[in-house]
Amino acid sequence: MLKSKNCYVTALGAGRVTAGSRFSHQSESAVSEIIGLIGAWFIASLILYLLWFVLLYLWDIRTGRNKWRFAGTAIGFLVIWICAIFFLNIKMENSIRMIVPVIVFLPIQYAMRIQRNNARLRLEKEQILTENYRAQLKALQSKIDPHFLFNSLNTLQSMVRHQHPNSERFIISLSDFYRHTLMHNEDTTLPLSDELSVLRSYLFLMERRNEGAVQISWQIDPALQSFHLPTLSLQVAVENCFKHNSISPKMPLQIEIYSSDDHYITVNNNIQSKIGEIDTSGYGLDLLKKRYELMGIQKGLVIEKTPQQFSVKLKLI
Amino acid sequence: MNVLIVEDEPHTASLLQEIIEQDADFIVVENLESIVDTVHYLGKYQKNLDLLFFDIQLADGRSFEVFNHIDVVVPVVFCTAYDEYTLQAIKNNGIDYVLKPFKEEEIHIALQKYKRLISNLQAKSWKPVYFQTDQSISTNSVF
Repeated sequence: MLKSKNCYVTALGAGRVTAGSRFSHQSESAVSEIIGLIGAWFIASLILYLLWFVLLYLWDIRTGRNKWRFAGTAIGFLVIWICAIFFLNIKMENSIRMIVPVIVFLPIQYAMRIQRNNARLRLEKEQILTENYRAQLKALQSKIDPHFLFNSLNTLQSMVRHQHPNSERFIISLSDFYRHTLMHNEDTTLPLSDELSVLRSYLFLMERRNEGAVQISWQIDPALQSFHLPTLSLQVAVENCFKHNSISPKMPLQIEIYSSDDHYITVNNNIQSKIGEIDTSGYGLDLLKKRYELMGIQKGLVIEKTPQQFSVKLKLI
Repeated sequence: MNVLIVEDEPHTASLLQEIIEQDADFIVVENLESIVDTVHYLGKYQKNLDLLFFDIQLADGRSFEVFNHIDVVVPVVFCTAYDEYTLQAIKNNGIDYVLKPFKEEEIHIALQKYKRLISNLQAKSWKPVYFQTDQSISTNSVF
C-alpha cells in the first residue's frame, strides 16, 4: 500500500516508474488503481492550483507591454507541460488521468473567478444607482425650496395690498416656475429654450423681491435653442449667485448670462461676499457636477474665479 | 415707541411698516437691508430705539451676525421664512418669532407682547423682586 502510494506520488514526475510498479503488483491492482487515481488527481490539482495563481498574477499584470510577457509565460507553461508528457514518457492512460482533473478543475476555477467579478460589478452598479437616486432626490428637494416659496408669497402679499402693477405677472411667474420645477422631475435634460423660460420666471421673481438690486444681461445665440442642458441647471447656477453674494440697490448684483461658440452657457456675476457663514445646502454646483459625471460628460461644469468675478460654464449637450 | 426694520426685500419691508404703524404707539424710524448698515445705525442710534424687527437671511448674511459686532440691548422680533433659527433667535434678544408669510394679527400679537413686557418692567422700575418661599429665598428677574 505504502509503496504503491509512494509510487504514485512520483507518478507525475516519472510516469515510467509508476507504470512499472503498478503492473508488477497484480494482486493490489484494484486498490492501487483507486489510490493511484486519487493520488494523481490530488497532485495534478495541487500543481494546477499553483499554475492557476501564476496565471492570475500574470493576468493582473497584463497591461500594455506586459502583454507579451503574459503570452510568453503562458506558452512556456504549455510547452513544459507537453514536454513533461513526451520526454518523461508518460503513458496515454496516465496522461488522460492528469487531463481529467484539469478539465474538471479549470472550469470550476474559472466559474469562481467570474462569480467574484460579477459580484464586484453588481456592487459597483448598485452604488452608481444609489448615487444617482440621491442626486435626483436632492435635486427635487432643492426645487421645492419652501423658503423661496414663503419669501415670494410674502412679497406678493405686499404687492397685492398695494395693488402693485406687477403683482399679476408675479403670480404667473411663480406658478410657471413651480410648474416647470415640479413637471420636469423625471427628465434628466431639458432643451435650452425650456431652461431659459424657467430662468426668466425665476429671475422675474428675484428682481421683484430685490427691487433695484439685481442687474441682468442676456446674450444667448438663438441657434443653440435645440441643445440640451441638465434639468434646471441654469436655475441652479443663477441661484448660486444669489446664495453667495450680498444684494442691495447701492451694490447691485450683476449677472451676465451668455452663450459661447464652444457650446457653453456661462453665468457670470460680480463677487460681493456675504458676512459670516453661508447656508451651503450642498445641492448646488457640486451636485450639478456629479450629474454631468453620471451622464458621462467630461468638463460639463467649469468654474472660473477671479477676485472680482465668478463664472460657471455649463456644457450644452 | 421707535421701531427699526431690518429686511432686505423692499416690498416685505413696506408691508411690515404698514402693519406696525397701524398701532398708534409705534413708529418705524428706519428701514435697513444689510448687516453693515444695521451695525452702523445701531452704533449711532441704539439708545433711541425701543424695538427691532429682524429678517434672518439678509442681503449680506444672517442678521445674527449683527450681534457679533455690536452689543444690542433692545428686544428683537424675528421675522423669517425659516423655522430652524428659533434657538438662536431666543439667544439674541428675541421676544417673538414670526414666520413668513405673516398675518397682521401675528405682528400685532408681537407688539402687544412687547408692550406688556415693558409696562411690567416699568411698574417694577427694574428692581429685582424677592419671593419668600418656605425653604429658601429665590430671585426672580424678568429678563
